Amino acid sequence: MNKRISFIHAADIHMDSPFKGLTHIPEEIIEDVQASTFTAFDQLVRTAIAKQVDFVLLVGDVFDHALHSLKAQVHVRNACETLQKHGIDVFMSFGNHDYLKGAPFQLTYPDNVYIFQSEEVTYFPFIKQGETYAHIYGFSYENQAVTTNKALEYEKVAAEVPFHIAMLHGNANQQTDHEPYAPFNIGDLLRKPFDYWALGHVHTQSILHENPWIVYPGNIQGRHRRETGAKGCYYVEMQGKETSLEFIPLHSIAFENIEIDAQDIETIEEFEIEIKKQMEQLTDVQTPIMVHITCEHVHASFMDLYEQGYVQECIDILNHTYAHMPVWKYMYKLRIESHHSLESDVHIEDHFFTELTTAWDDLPVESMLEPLFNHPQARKFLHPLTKEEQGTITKRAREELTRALMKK
Amino acid sequence: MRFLHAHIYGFGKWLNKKIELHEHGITCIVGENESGKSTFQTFISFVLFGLPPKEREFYRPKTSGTLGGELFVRLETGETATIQRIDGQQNGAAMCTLSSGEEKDEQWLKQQLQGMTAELFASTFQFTTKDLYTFEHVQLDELSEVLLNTSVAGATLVHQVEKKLAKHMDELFKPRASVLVINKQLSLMESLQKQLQEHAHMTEEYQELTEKIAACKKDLQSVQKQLATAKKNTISWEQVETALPFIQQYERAEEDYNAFQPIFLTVEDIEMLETYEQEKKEAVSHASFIQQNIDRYTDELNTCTIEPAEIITEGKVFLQEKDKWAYYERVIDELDREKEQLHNHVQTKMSPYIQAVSVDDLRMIELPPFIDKKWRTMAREAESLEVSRQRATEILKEASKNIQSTEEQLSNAHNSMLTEEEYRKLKDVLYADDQVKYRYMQKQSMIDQEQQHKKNTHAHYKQGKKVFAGLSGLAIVFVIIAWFSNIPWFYHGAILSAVVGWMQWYFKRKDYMNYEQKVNPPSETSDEVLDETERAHLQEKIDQHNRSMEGIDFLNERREEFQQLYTQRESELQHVLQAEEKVNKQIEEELFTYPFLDKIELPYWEEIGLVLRDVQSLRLQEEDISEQLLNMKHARNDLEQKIRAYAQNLDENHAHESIPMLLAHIDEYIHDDVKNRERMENLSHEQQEALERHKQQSKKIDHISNEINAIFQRAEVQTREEFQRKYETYIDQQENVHQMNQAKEQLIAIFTPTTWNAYVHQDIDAHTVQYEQSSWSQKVSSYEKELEDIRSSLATSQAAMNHLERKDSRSYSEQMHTFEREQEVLQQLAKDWATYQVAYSTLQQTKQTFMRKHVQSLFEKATEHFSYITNKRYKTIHTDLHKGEMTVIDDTNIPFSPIELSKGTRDQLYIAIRLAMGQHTQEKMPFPFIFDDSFVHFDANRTERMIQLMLRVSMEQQVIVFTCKNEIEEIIQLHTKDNEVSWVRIQ
Repeated sequence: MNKRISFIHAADIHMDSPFKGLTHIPEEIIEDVQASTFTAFDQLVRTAIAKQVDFVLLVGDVFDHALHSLKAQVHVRNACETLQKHGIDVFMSFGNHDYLKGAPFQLTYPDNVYIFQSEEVTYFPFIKQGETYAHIYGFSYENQAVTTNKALEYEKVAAEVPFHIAMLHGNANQQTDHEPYAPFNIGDLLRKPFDYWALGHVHTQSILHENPWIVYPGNIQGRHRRETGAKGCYYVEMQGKETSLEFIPLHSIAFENIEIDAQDIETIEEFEIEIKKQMEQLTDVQTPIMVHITCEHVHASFMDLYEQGYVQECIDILNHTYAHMPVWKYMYKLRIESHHSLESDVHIEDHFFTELTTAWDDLPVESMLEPLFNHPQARKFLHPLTKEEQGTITKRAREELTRALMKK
Repeated sequence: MRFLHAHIYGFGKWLNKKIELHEHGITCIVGENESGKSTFQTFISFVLFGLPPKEREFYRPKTSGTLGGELFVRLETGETATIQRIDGQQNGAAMCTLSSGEEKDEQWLKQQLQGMTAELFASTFQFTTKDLYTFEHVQLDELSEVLLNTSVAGATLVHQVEKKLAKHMDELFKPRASVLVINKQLSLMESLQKQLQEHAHMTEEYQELTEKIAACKKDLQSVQKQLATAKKNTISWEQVETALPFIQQYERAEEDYNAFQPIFLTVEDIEMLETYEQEKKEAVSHASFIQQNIDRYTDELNTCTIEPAEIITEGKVFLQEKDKWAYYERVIDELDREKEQLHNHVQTKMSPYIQAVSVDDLRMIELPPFIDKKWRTMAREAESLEVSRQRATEILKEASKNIQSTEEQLSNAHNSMLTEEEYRKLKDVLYADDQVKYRYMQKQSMIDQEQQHKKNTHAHYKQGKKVFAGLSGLAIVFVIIAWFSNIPWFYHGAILSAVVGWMQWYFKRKDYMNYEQKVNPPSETSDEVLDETERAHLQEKIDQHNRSMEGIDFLNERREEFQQLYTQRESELQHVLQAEEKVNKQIEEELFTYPFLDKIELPYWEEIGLVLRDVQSLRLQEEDISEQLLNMKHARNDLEQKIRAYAQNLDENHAHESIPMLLAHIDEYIHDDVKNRERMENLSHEQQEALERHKQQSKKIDHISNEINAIFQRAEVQTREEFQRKYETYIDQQENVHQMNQAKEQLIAIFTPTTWNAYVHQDIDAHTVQYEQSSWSQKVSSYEKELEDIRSSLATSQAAMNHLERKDSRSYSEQMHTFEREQEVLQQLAKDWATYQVAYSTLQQTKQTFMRKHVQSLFEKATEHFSYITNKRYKTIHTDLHKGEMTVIDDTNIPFSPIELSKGTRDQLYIAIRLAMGQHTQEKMPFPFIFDDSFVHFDANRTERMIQLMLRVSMEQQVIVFTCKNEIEEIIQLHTKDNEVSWVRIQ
């Protein structure tokens, strides 16, 4: 008779995330949003109990902040105690967000919790009915950055144990939208004889390989406009050589994006109709939705509406209605993308505007911004701008100036 | 790009309006206010750059749906092009057509405009009252800056944008301010940071509590351990108190036990001895019983007898053939019955034909196979031929009758026909009648035509008369006029009229008369024409003749057909008769071969054939069965003889009994023999078993005796009596052991199986027990109190920690989030500020770069214009780019800042700089300058100088002037020749 185990694979819980970018939002909405990582984690616990799993894997970034906020730690500990009552073990590692040395103290977790307490790859046996059913391998980040390929350090111990599961919080195939910590290639993992690679760090769910399984479950709760759609964990069953996976959504709030082509929008009524139409098309009716709006191909008359505040007022009025629905929706941010293109710049020889068109390359942005960013008080709280942010600011400045001078 | 003319399909108040523009001079568009001058300017902008929807709606004509028009331009290449833009067509994009006919799109137009927008066009090439008004209202301290900016991009646009950016930045942040948005946010951040730092003690407190709780738990564990030890000792001494009598009992019994010499006996030994003695007695008795049985089996075996084996084997063979005998009997009976049934069947089948043929005769007759089918064919053929013959005879009779009837009808038809001569005469009469009638119809038609012509000629004749009368009247009038006026031409006219009138009358009349003479009335119809009745009668005769001709042909064809049929049927009858003859011959042959058929009619031959074949088959079966019966009887008789011989050997008394009875005796005999054999075998087997059991019993007796001897040896005795004495001593010794065990059991019950002997031989007395009990009880009380204190302390720390976890942690977390959110707000504000700052700085830097490159040429031109329009009152414009200042120097070399100039001179300076900037742009992009009453507020002198400057400019550039002022019109007229200005006046 083949031995059977079942478990929940989750990662990047980001407990007690502050949800940056959600300013100027009503108190009742922000409360729901800030509670969402807790709510999603509670849902994970309920799922583990309902499925009667053997254990739960939490693969790094359990806490959003290196300080491991007490509120978050207490919540996780209480959840682990609940799981203990149902005989469910928890294997937990820390990632680049909640690295070990960043935490001033660590709560005492119940006996069913197994924490990887160093950067060295080790393992815990999972024992069921007096027999070792599985070895769970992993490590935790001691500092914020782990730049070595940790996948190479995983070695299988005691081949006679039926299942070998490796927890790895790192960046596969150098994905550019995530920090390049603990980088590895799929080939590195395939060369190691593990049955299941439980990955973390990348917030988008994906199955990179089957047999052996290499799986990113994504995070359990979206936190901004780039983390849209259903978020959750994988419920995994392993028996003999057979492994089955089921994705289980856990998010309590969904993040969605709406893109509005403003090319033909002349009046605020037309804008309202378009917004309403797009909001109706949002399909997730089970959970509240935070909506990010991008207005593309914006022309001068629409910009007039925007600058006079009509566009924001329209969104505020609609938000008031949507926010009081049984399952609320809220448009939390509006981004304007100009119609301006470089091809349409002035290119009259020896003209000032032509000179202006060519003035944007290699701008000394940092020195231009010194008055604020080197200000003794401001520099304590401001993050220095990245090159990408400087580029965005330059682009916006150019659009602003072009629009003002040439009414484009 | 120069504008040559415009065609407005519809724009504002303009509808289908064409305006010619002077390509190499000034076009002066004159009109009152609200006459549409500005609309025309907007139209030019619309065609070149398009308009936003709201403005398009504003300019949409009220009376026509089409908004748009075209602008005919000359490009830099010298080529001309039409730029057409109509709202609603091509999505409002421009449609351009080159003079070569090549069509171009909006993209091409944008390339021609080199990225220029309507606003840039206006700020570079358009001079309006509004523009000047805006300039006049700038702050005086900004004047130099504005003028410098004007030299960069025309008008005041750059300056306005600069101000707007600076305002945005100033609203957000200043390094030393406190009420601006970013400054306020920084203060808020400071405050939040302080709050967070205050909260940092919570972490320390939590850590202290954690450590305290851990220490308490450790103490708790330690004291709990000590308490457990104390309680354990208390319980132990209580147990000792209870166990003390048993300890003493154990010690006494042990002492007694040790006083005896050792005896190597056990209770088991005596029990075993008794058991062995009992077993030995039973074994001897059993062996005796088995010996008796062995003797009995021997006796019985001696009494048993059996027959020789070959006799029994032979008997068994006969018993096996018992079934064969029964088979023979059954088959013989069945064959007898079958034979009899076949015989009866043959007799029944032959009974209807017994007079023709007997059963015995059949043996003499050989019937070939299928004779019945042959006879059936013959019978059917004879019958068929009979029917065919009768039918052919009837058809022949019918055909003969039809031929006769057809010949009679032919005879009647010949009698009813016309002769050939009669027929020809009748046809001639009818033809002549047709000819007469045709000629009459032709003539009648000709007369009708002539009558119509005559009517027409008559009408002409009447008309001629009227003309003659009219012209005669006219001639009379002419004569009268000539008479009174004495003008000879009227006499000529009178004569001409009279002559023409007479000629009209004369020639028309001649025509009419000629025709009148030509036309004759039609001749009457001939009397020789037949009337309708006669014609119908003659036609009927001809038709009847034709029908008779057709009937004779038909009857001839029928008669031919009937004769052919008759011949055919006659031939068929002959064939039938020949076939009948052949069949009759065959019948004769069969009668000769089978004479008995003579008594039977032909249709029944097939039936008797079938019956005879069946009977022959049945007889063959009967013979076969008889043969089988004979063989079977022989076999039965052989078997009977053998059985009887065997039975007689066994017992002569059975010689006359039936075979079944004999077989029953043989069976019984063999059965008895088998039973005897089985019994002997059983007895032998039991005898063997009894011998074996007897042997085993003997062995057992020997074994028990050995065991008894071994027990005696162990007890070191020789006899049973010695053993008994020693055993009694052993019993006493065992009593001591029993008492020791009793005491031990009690001690184990009080203590444990492993610790019961810890207190034996320890010299413990009641006093010691009491002392220890009291001591440990006091320790227990002390530890319990200590434990209670630790628990209390732990509960307090735990409560404090729970409080921190429940409340303070949440509050701290929320404050952290607030801090991070506000930090993000700050970051966003900083980015907004950075956007304005980058835009502002870039604008500044670009201005500097541009000025450095072009300031000299620009201001040389501006100086030239300024000097000209101030009538050389000022000779130089000087700029300091570093300071951002401008000065003008008058003809006495005194420098003036722009603020120091009069308002009118400032305006002149502004226009001079703008014009210079416009001309600078025009070098690369030659567009016309547009002046829209720009100098309306100038005094007469300045206005004249400005117009003169404008005229100078127009010598190189196209200029379009819009004005509502007569004096401007007059000045222009004064200073220009006719071909230098194109005037457009609008209402």
